[in-house]
Amino acid sequence: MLHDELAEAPLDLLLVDDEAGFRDSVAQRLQLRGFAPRTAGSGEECLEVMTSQPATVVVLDVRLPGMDGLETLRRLKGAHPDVEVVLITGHATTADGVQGMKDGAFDYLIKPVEIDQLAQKIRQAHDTVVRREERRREAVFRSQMAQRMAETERLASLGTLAAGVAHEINNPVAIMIQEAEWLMDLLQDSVEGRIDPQELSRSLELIRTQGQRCREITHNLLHFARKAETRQQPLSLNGMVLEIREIMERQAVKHHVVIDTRLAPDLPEIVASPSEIQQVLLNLINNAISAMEDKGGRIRITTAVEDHAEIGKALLLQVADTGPGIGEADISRIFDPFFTTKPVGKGTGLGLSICYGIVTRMGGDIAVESTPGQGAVFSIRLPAPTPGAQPQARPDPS
Amino acid sequence: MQDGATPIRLLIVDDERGFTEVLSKRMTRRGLRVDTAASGAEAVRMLRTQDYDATIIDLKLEGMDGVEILKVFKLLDPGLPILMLTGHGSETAVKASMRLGAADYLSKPVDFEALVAKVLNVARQGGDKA
Repeated sequence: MLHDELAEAPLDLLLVDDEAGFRDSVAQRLQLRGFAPRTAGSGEECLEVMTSQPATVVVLDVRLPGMDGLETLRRLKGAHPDVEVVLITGHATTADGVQGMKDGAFDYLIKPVEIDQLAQKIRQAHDTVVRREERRREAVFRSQMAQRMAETERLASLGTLAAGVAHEINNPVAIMIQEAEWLMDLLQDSVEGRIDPQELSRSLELIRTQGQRCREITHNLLHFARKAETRQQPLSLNGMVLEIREIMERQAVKHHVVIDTRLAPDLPEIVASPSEIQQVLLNLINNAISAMEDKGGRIRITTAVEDHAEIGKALLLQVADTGPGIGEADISRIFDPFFTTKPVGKGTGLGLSICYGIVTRMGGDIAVESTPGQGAVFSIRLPAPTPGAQPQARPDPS
Repeated sequence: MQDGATPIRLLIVDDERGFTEVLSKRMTRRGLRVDTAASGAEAVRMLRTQDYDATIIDLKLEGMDGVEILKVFKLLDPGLPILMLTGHGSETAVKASMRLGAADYLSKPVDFEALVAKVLNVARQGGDKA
């Protein structure tokens, strides 16, 4: 099946000329060279034949009664943009050939036509059709791949987050279980099921406190998940930074990493997809934590408004760490898909390439600077909303 | 309850106070003598002033982590049986701990009866060795 799908389109040729004698003789001589041309005697007939059974290549005489060759060409290309047209012009009408090229003809030949040259042009025209189709398939394949990659990465970063949350919840759950079992111990040893009321209320209080702790963790996560909207909407970059910091704080502390923020108080709102901004921040912070997890360190998240001579106002979002930094050999490949310095099974190698994709789709730019031994700084610049204009929610482009 | 006349002395090292407290009271009820420490520094201080028959160390601690505490304990008291408490995804640290001489390990969330059984087990083995 795959082979069939990828097989190239067969060369289907249509010969259009009003002079039956010339047309038939060309058709015959092309047949001898392995072609199977269909024929039409006028521009109108050509368009009609194309509607019922489109050809891949059309050989078209410019001089036609009724609708002339150039008009036929324009309509043909309008209705069938993929068809390639080889024009045949007389000596006196080479200007038509040039005009035809401007209107999308593949090439033009001047009468009297040398048959092998025509055959060669037809093959070249057909190759163009095939190559264009291949490129289109490839583009579709690439965009499907990119979508799948983005989804994989999103799941991976959510997976990391979920693992962190499970870890957080483990401790309070363990305490609740132990306290409940403690009460069961007491009950088992008691006379007629009596437990010291003070002991009882102390344990219950502890169970409640730990339950509340779990609730807080799930509350944060649910809040985060609800925000996982792909729809574009006005949002505060500072707000997103603070939210992610709260979610990542515990994981950071576990790895002896401090997260601090320097947020510009006058930062304008941007129109963006909250889930995409979350993903970018999560990736950068996760990377920074894993870079520093051996020795600990500091992550500083900065936002600012910048004025650039060339691009005007831009919002700066910076994530800087104090880890080992990025080697010169790695820094040029760091945004490449599947490039990772993490051990096998630890990273997908997609995080930063996805960040790159998200930021550039927003019309922004992501860059990294690093001095080995002195940490890495990721800087994202996003176009600032035009002053005065209130940010509007845009419908999802998909 | 313990069979022997002298109760087993256990040190629990974990920064989750709520957890060490409830473990401590349950273990005490089973006849063990339990101390707790919330950090590596505190644990080392206690080991310098007290003899223990067994110790439980949480792998993930703020400051000095479980593996580092294990190393120091092995220097201070090579015969002391050490049980490591681990979370998910700590396979590397578990392997390192066992290589460094931990007696055994248990994954969180722990089953109390399993934990008691392991403590009694390693304490007895440690006693035999001594």
